[in-house]
Parts: sequence; C-alpha cells; structure tokens
Amino acid sequence: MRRFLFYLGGRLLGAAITLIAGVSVIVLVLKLAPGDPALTALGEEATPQAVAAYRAQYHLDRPIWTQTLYALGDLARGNLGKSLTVARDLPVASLILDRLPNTAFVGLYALALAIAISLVVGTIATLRRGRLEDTVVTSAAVLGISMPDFWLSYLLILALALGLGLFPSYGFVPLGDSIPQAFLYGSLPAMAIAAPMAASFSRFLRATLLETVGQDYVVAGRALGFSEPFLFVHFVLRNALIPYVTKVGMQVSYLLGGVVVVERIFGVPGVGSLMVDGCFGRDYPLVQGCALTFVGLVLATNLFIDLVCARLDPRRAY
Amino acid sequence: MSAEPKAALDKPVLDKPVLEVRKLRVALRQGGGDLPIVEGVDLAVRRGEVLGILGESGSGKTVTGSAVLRLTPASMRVSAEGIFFDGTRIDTLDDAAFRDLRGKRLAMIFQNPTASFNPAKSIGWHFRWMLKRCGIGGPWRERARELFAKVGISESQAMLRLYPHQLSGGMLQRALIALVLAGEPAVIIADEPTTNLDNIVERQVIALFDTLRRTTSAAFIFITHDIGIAATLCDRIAVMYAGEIVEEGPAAALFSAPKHPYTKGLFATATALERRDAVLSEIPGELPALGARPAGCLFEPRCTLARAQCRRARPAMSSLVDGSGQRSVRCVLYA
Amino acid sequence: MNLHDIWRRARRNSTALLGLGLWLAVVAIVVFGPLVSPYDPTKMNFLSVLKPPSLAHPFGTDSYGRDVLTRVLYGAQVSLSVCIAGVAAGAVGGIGFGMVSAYLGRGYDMTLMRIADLLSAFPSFVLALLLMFALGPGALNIMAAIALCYLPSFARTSRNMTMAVKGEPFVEAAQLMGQRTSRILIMEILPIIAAALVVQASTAAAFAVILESGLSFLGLGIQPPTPTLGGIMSDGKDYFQRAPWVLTFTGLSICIALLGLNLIGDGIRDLMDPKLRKVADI
Repeated sequence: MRRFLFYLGGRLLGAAITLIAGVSVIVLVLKLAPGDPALTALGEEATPQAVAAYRAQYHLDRPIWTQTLYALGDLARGNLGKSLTVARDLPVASLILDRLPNTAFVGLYALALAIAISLVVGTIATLRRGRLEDTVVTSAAVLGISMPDFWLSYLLILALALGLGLFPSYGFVPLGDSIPQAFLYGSLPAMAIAAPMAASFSRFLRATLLETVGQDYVVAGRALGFSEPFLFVHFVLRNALIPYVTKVGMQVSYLLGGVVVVERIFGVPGVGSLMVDGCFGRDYPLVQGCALTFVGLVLATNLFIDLVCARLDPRRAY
Repeated sequence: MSAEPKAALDKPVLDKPVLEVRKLRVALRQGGGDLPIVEGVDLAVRRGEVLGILGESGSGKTVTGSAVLRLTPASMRVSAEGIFFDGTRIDTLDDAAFRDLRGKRLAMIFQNPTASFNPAKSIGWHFRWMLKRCGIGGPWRERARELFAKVGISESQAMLRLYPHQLSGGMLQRALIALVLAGEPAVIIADEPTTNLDNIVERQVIALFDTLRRTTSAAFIFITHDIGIAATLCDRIAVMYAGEIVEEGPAAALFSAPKHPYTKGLFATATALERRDAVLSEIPGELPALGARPAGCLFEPRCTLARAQCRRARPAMSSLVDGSGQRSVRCVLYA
Repeated sequence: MNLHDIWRRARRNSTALLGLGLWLAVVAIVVFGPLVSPYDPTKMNFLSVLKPPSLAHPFGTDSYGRDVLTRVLYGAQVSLSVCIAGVAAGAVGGIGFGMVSAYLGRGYDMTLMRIADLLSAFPSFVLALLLMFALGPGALNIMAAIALCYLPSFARTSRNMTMAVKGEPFVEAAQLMGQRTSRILIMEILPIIAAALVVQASTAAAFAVILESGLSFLGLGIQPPTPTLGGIMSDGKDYFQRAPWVLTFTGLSICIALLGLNLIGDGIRDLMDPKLRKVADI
C-alpha cells in the first residue's frame, strides 16, 4: 500500500509538472499571437491610458516569463481570467465548468460506445480469423479510420436523423435536465466520435488477441483441461486487456480532438465549441482556459489509465 | 528399476498399457500436400512406468507429446490408427469429451515453466480453478497444501498469493507439477521439464520426478534430449530420429548395447563429450529438411553403415530378441 | 529487414499493393485532373446553382454554380500538399530529434523526451487550433501546426528503435571502424528503422488530412477563395439538406485518399519484423 501511495504520488507530481509546462507553452504561444488582448477587450477606440491601465492590470506589460508565472499563480487559485468577447466579463473558469459536464458526457458516451463495439468486433475477428466475418470486420475497420469524423457526422444526420428519424439532428439536453433526452441528443455526436476510435481499437484488439492466442501459457492452460471459452476470457482476453487499455488511454487525446468539431456540428454546448467560439472572437483568456482544460483532461485520463494498468498487470511494480 | 516386457496379449489386465499410441502421424498442412513431421510412431506405457522419448531437437518428440493431448497448432494435421487410454479409443472422441480427459486423466508439463502460468493471475487462482474443475470446490486451499507437500513445497499459503513472475523457474515447475497432480492423472507427459532450469534445480526436479514415479500410480512419458536424465529416470526408452522411433526397449539393455546406428552415434557423442575427447565422434550431416525426406531410411544419408538396400524403402520396426526382454529396431541390419 | 527487402515482399502483399495503387491513382487524378477539367474552381455560374450529380457535373454543383468535382480536385491539391509537407517536416524534425536523442542518451534524451511527452499531452486538434489562433490562418501555419502535432510521435518511434538497434553488432562494428556518428545514424540505422517510419508517415498523413480539413471545415484553416477539402464541405453543410451531394462526395473523396494511405501503412506493418514492430509501437 505504501509503495502504491509512493507510486501515485510520483505520477501526480509528474502530471503536475507536465501541466505547469503545458500552461507555460499555452501562455507563450498566445503571447506570440497577433493582435493585442487589451485592444480586443477595450475596443479599437480605447484611449492609450485605458489600454496602459488594462495592460498593467493583467500584467501584459511584464516580460513573458513573468506573465507565465502570473498565469500559473492565477491557475493555482482557480482563476483563469475573464472572457473578453464571447461572454463579456464572465470568469472563464465558470464558463468552462458550466460546459465541462457536457463535453465529459459526450466524450464518455463515445468512449463507452467505442470500447463496447471494439470488444465485440475484435473478439469476433479473432475467433473467426481468416473467415468471412474477419474480412468484413477488418475491412470495415480500415474504412472506419479513413473517415473524417465531421463527414461521418453529416452521414449520420442524413441517415439516422433525417432519413429514419431516430435521433434529433441538432441540439443538446444536459444530463441534469433529463437523462433519456440527454442520451437521445447525445447519441449522434457520440457515434460520430466513437466510430473512428472503435475502428482503431478493434484493429488493435484483434492484433493483440491474435498474438496472445498463440502464447505458451494458453497452450499450457489448454493442457490443464480448461474449456475454450474459459481460456479465451481468463487467459487470452485478460492478458490482451493490458495493452488494450494502454491503447485506449493514448487515444483519449484523439477523442478530445474529435469532440471539438463534432460539438460544433451538433450544437453541443461543450468546451470544444467554446474554444472554437473563443478562436473566432479572439478571446485570449477563453482559448487559453479551454486549451488548458483539454490538457488537464488528457493528463487526468493518462493517470487514471496508468492506475488501471497497474491494477490489471501484476508484473508492473508500482 | 525392472525392465518390463513389451505389451503382450496374454499379460494380466493390470499390465496392459494405460496409454497406447498406434501409428501416429503428424503433418504440416500445406497447399500442395502435407509435409510429414512425425510418422508411424507406436508408443505404449503402463502404470508406474516411465517411458523416455529420447532425441535431438527437431526429432519430433515434442510434437508427438502434444499430438497425443491434441495440443498441436491448427497448422498441423494429426492422424493415428488409434490412441487408446485405459483400453478406450480416445483419438476419435469429440473435443468436449476429450477435454474432460485432458488435465484430469492425461496431463502435460512443459519445457518453459515461466510460460506455463497465466501471467495475469496468481498461483492460487490457478489452483482454485484447477481444483474446481476436478470437482473440489470448498476446501481447495487444504487440497492445494497437500499437493504442494507432494512436490516439496511447505509454504503453500504464501505460494498461493504469489504471481508467476515472482517465482523462480524451479519453483514454478514444482508448482506446475503440483497443479497437474490435482487431477490425479493416469498419464503425465513431461516435455523436457528441466531443460530451462539451472543445474542444481534441474537435479532437484529430476529427484522429484523420481519420487513421484514411486509414490503415484501414474505412467510417465518423459521427453528429453539428455541421455543422462533418460538413464536415471526411465524404465523404457524410445529413441526418435526425424519424426520416427528408430529404436525402442528397456533402458538398461538399450544403454548397454545400442543397436541402431543413430543410437550408437548419439551415445558415442555423449560419452565423448563427457570424457572431453579431443576428437568428437559426431554423426556427420544434419536432420533431413521437412520437405526433403528421403524415400528410404531417414538416417541413411548420415549412416556410415548404409547400403544400397537402405535407399529403396523405409525400414519397419523389427523385434530383436537378445535375452534382456523385447526390443525393436528400425534398421535393415537387424531385420 | 530494410526497406528494400520490404519492397520485394510488398510486391506480393495484396493490402500494400491495393493501398499503393489507390494512392497512386488518387495522386494522379489530383495532379492531372484539374488540367483536364473544363471548369474553373472559383468562377461562379449562377445559371447552374446546386445541380445534382450528372454526366456534366459528376459531383453536382455548389451554391455558386461551381463544379464540385473540379473544386475537390483543386482543393485536394492544396490539402494534400499542405498535409504532406507538414508531415514531412514533422518527420524530418522528429526523426532527427529522436535518433540524436537515442544516440546521445542521458540528460539530452530525458529533456527531449519530456518535451515530446508535453506536446503529446495536447490533443492534436486542440494544439492545431491553438496554433491557428496564435499564428493566424494560412497554409504555411497549418503546415507548421501539422508538423508540430506529429513531431512527437516520429521522435518517440525513431528514438525507441534507434535505442533497440544501436547495440547491434553492425552498429558497433561501424563505431569501431571510426565512422562518424552522423554517417552511422544515416547509413546504418536509418535504413533499419525506415519501414516503421514509412508506416507512421502514412498514418500521420491520413490524420493530417482529417486535421487540416477539420480546421478548414470550422473556418479556422486555409481561407476562401482558395478551395480546400474542408472548405468545400463547410460550404456544403450550409445547404446540406437541399444539396447533400456537395458534402457527401467531397467526404467520400477524402475517405478514398485516406483509405489508400491506411492500406499502405497496414501492408508495410504486416511485413515488418514483429520484434521491431513492438519496439516501434505502431
């Protein structure tokens, strides 16, 4: 247990360092951006005095590394600054917090779909290796990773919303308002994000399962007389799960990228669409806060996946 | 160790072989026709007896062992005139019925103990499920303790908590033997169970097999390339070359007077190595390649005593009566 | 196994061949198509607005009466060159960093790999969006964003593979013969790890196309009137219900191009030595 706590502490420290470095990168990148946040905030006709006062208030007159330190200090206090244009003068932190549950819901829904599909599909492809089912599934998977998610979104709208009328084509209901409605509205966005991931997970799971099926310990288990379903679940799938979960963790970053476009298409009020709004409105603090949120989400998932893997794999020392 | 005579029809029931393999053939499936790996292998082993299958790597001894338990990969085709267990034919059983025998009545121990356990599960997990499979549900820890005692492990509770990667090869091999004994198998096929262990541990495991042979009623098939181990452990020896048994007989007689030119060469090489002779009396040449097996005697290309007759047809096993019990040799010199 | 061996075997690998054929066809059509097309990609023609697909307009026309196929061909020229240039820049940079990092080891390696870790903590689309926001839209900036997005993965793969290969006897022999480090890296190690890098480049190029068209689709990428695949689809989404062909056919074209890239990647991956494949983590 103590070793586990040490391990956890080390991982948390690592994530914190990466987060701090990430903030620095984001702040630095935004300092390089053309335009002046002061002018964006105050308007082009602002008096030089007002601009100077604004710059002094937000430390914009300091060297870049001092600004970075201020930004880190603000972050530590949970202060991400105030929105300039998208939601004038509202704190960025509360804007993001309002929308984070929606992004999390759509993202997790998509992840769950992708995992469920890939487990079924990967298993079928492995058990029916070289037969028709395998060929169909692997071909579909290559096709799946070759489809841009935003294009798929419109295909889904065309087929399932406009064609069959199963789901609404636009809009969103937060989970807190109505659970069935949230799932109804969340389904198409989740499917659009999930499809390429499901394809990529399935391909990976199939490759890993096929590798595991031939391991000596599976033959040894067979020699002990365990049944084939038992061997598949406890020997093959169980051991393939370790690299699979690692892969899923790595893909979360890709998933969050997909969230940005898909949220926009389906009108999901999430962090992704907020960031796009921020980009259009040249809302520096908002873009900074959103980017930071995404980095934080990636780091948190990586940490979580790491802990899951440590649980799954007895060979991994903490 | 007494040398027992070969299976004969007039012997009492108890002396009937518990496992008998007739004309086993294993071939690699290929587009243009199968490539034989093992051909015409006859084996018979009785309760309490240790049959050694001796041969160099590539001689087909492991494939033979796996084929009996239906553990060969799908790329291989196995056929036989019959595999009999306790008098019943088992090679024609369906998979479900066969699986019931495997692990319980027929067991196999592998060369690499570290790869014989599920790395994601503890030793205890393996025992719990194995014992459950053998019908022991509730007091499985107690039964596991007894099994561990049989293989000389007293710390059974600690063992059960450990994971395979936390144990040494020797301990794992003992644990695997204990696991295999759970089903009280009538036949245990051990495929080079000590090859991957270091010297001292190897001797301990050999000693363990020697004890087990005396304390259990199981029949052992001990697959090895080590002549020394075969000599200390086995009652009967079958020498394999290129997928065929070339000589078979009681261990003592076979070792004192090998007949087949290959066996002679093999023993000569071993003694030369032991005496550290300057000149190694090696068998010239190599095993025939899979697709290029001679039509005649498989050993003929390497045999110093080969004649024209050897190239014509594959020699059959022929009995040899020399007073030490029945022996058979696959060579025209003794036909 | 080096790239030459892979090529010899690839000629018998149907997946790689199919991918290569598809990809070559896509490149040929994209390069030569615009020369053949009778239409102008930007000139508006209000007499033939939103015409469904026909022989004259296989992909139909858009809301300005422009031939969608012609626009797709021109757009693909822009998009593919931006993506290929971006991935190439990322690959060259990443491979350079990775190999040097592995060869020098220790503190240098640590620092570079932490930087790579940091970059990969950003979802690639978010990093690209951030860079577009900072640098402003434009082909060159998208290239830079793509290069930066894929640099870490190239760096990590080439580093891990160089680490695995550098202890091999032939590398040590070259060192003993007194060859310069740069020569050893390029002449001895690079050919060994090239296959993995080709696999990675093909998948990276596929993702880059999605990235670029995604940015342009949002309106944050290359700006009109320059036709890009994402831009055409962005237009198409506005009248998606009335004229679904604009968006559908453009997306389908992207899909085919990416399919070619992914099949090439799959084919070469299958041909690689499983041990190296594991090291490469691809």
